[in-house]
Amino acid sequence: MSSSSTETGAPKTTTKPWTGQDLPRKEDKRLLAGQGQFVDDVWMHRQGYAHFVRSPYGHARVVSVDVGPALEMAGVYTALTGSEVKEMCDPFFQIAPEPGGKIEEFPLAVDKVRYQGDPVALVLAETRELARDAAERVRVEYEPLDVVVDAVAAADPTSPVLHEEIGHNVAWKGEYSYGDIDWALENADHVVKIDRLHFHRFSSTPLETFGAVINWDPGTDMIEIRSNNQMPIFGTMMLSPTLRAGADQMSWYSQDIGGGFGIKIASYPQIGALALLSRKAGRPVKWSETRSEHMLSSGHGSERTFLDLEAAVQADGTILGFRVRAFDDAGAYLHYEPLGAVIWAQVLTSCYRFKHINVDYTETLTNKCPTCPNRGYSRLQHMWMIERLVDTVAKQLDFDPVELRKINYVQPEDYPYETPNKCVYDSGDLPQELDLALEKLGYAEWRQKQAEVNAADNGKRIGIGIGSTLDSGTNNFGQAQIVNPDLPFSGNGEAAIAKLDVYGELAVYLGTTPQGQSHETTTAQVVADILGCDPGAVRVYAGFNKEQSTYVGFSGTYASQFAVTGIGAAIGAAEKLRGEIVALSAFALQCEESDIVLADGVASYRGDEERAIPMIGVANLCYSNVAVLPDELADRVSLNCRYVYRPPFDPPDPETKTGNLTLTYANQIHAAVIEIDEGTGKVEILDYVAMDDCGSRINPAVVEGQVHGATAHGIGAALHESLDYDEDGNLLQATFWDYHPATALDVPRLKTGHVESPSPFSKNGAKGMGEGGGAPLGTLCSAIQDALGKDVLVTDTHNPAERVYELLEGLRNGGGQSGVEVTSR
Amino acid sequence: MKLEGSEHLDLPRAEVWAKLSDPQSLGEALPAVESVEVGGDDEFEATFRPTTGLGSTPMKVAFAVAEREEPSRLVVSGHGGAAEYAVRLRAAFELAEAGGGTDVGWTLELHLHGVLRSLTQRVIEQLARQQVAAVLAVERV
Repeated sequence: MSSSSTETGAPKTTTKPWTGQDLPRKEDKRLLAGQGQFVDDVWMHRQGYAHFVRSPYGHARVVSVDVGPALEMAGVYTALTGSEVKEMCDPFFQIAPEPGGKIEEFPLAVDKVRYQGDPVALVLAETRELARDAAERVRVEYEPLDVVVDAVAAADPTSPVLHEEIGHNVAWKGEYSYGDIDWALENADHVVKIDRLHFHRFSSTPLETFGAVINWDPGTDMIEIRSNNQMPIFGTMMLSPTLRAGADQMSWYSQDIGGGFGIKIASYPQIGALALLSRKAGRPVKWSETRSEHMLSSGHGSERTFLDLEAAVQADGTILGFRVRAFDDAGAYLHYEPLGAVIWAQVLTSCYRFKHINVDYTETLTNKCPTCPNRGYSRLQHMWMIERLVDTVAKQLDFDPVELRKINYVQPEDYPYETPNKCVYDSGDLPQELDLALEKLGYAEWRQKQAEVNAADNGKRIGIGIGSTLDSGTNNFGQAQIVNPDLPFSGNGEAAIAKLDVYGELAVYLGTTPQGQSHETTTAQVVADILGCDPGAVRVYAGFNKEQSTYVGFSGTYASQFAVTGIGAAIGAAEKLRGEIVALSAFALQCEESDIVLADGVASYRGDEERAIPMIGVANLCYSNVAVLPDELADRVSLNCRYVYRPPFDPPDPETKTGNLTLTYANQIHAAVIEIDEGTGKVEILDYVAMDDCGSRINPAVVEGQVHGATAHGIGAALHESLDYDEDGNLLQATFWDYHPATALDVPRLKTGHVESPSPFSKNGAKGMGEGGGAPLGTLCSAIQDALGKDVLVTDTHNPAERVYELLEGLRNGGGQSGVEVTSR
Repeated sequence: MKLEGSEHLDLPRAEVWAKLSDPQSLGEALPAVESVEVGGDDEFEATFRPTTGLGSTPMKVAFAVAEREEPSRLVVSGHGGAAEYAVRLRAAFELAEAGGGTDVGWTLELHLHGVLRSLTQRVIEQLARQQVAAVLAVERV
């Protein structure tokens, strides 16, 4: 093995693959120098600045909108109201069947507002500040209506109705039934029933809020959209029919995006409104969302209430399955919903081998910000409920929580493991991962310390918790048919182009929209291995560019899939390009293609490094010296190689709600030690371990970064971050004054580790892992429960000091109000 | 939000009634008021400039006497706001003679809408109580 310095700064090896190395990120050179290009850096000639006028009410009729006083201000170009929008466009396409499918949503509210922050008008002016001042002069007369802010209450027919076209608030309802839960509950040795669990509402609050610069060109009728939307082709699917424009008229562009987490899939309504404003004004419009707007109206993570959860448990600890009623709170409109009503089923049994499951799932509409995909979309909620179930079974029936998990985990020999709904878990070793987590934690020592501290009665309690989750990656969009059989979607895919340019430059064009996931680095590593060059020699064009990128309907960056789909496409394209380079080189060197070796950026004859052709020579043959090529060869090479990666999916069966809903399953096992101050309820994390198994790691440092981010995010949500509404439909955390994202002060020094179980289903053994599974939510609830004992139940994902204090008060008042019932035979 | 309280004022009931039921007098008694425009016997519009952590913004509130049972009961309702804020309120005052003075029982139903609600959530109850106390303090003078 030889080594020397490279452009990436990493040691160069010719025998060791680049894949798997901790290479520094290519992106960081520009990002750390402040030279990234984010949407707010984009400027268009003649652009105006837009500002939304938003409803202060959670629910109200819009009696009138008078933009006259705003238009009187010098420098105000124009304004747009809901009634105008209704004339200019059609309602958004709804993913839902009826009843949710009957919802008529326009880019601006028409006649009625349904949540605080619902936009009623737009103002365009020559400066951002002027637009904001002018927006304050828009007079909107509202007639306030009663609100409903609870998902379960919203299902009650007597609740205030948000959408009269439906007549009630149930957007989607369905039953998922596998095995025979009635038999299991009747025959199990124990039945553990939990009355109510609640997964709270929070968000990802990306550093960069929504934004867009849009020009609906009055001459060409082309709509140029520069934005930070993270799934632009989905945006086209939603907007093209709404705007009465062809998909080919819509050109999307993005470069750097400052965090997305799924939320930025849901910026299409704002983009639609801005496009119409540009069309009306005949000039480009620019909009950068304020933080308050983002909190109020961008999109929130899913909130779910679980009622009447019953688990069937055998005497040896085997959990046969469970039954539950789930109420998902979609907020005021269906943005990407009701896909969340099936996406949780990708992780139906979470990490466990449950056989009998019945979930009665209802999604309701409430006077709250619409929910949308948010890191771990729809699966976190379900897996947290299962972790609470497992922990409660352990506590109530006196099982060791470690052993109970090990008994019920999917075992290493079970893979590929088919769940009751026919999803296939690809690989893993959960018992080993748990052992490693506990070893890193110093589990035995902490248990001893816990016994000492808790016995000392000095106002402190220690608890130790475990959380096990999956990060399912690469959706089978056929699952959409489970919520709406009429949808013509199935499978998944991603496209890439690998290119050898005129002077021998290597380039890869992706259709993805990275928001910090290091696509440029990891793609270059993988492609460099295939083309025998330095990753620094591979220029990767990440970010979406309608003219330059190649794409399929599902292109974008979301749902933990790039390591499988994006890299899969890049591998396919690079392999095609390699084939062409080899063919041209074999012609040039007058040898067989099998004799060609690609290494160190040149093609050479095997065993004779002097008999070689550099990439510039190969490119020359194809671009500028083509007359020397035989026709057969000239006809099959372009050095522009497009490849579409298509994961091996079949359409699911909507009737039985079964099928392989996702391709890979990374898993996470976290363990934590916490200390509770009995006087205040404050929770302090004393120790934290995050284990991850995402198969083959393309760049371990990038994986480590994602693990840190997802863990911090989960800790923030568990202890600090919450989006709550008051009885009038007001969001109580509309600024960072009240919404507290986790900072370095809130996150302990993490101990991380990994198990590497390559996926047999992806091209490179990798699994998507960016969302992280939300393991901290289960882990911290488990630890708090462990500290408090079994006489009170931790029922909520969010446990700030005041909630833990209430639980302590419950204990001090004698407990017994746990909301748990155990029946044993 | 619904609040209630009571005060004893060392003023005859008729005098308290006169001040409370006079739109100009009542309007000027409200804290943070910039201006008061009386629209009739039972109506006035006040422009406030409440200060929050994000600065201050003018808010216009139209008040109207909803119930008047001289000299014992007065109910005032109000609604208004600014571009991103809205307020609805209903304040009821019960006046009873007590040892040469007047006992004033009051209730305030307040609905605050918009980001202002979020920003003031930890202090709104105290602010509302101060508001009522300020009105009654003026009457006391």
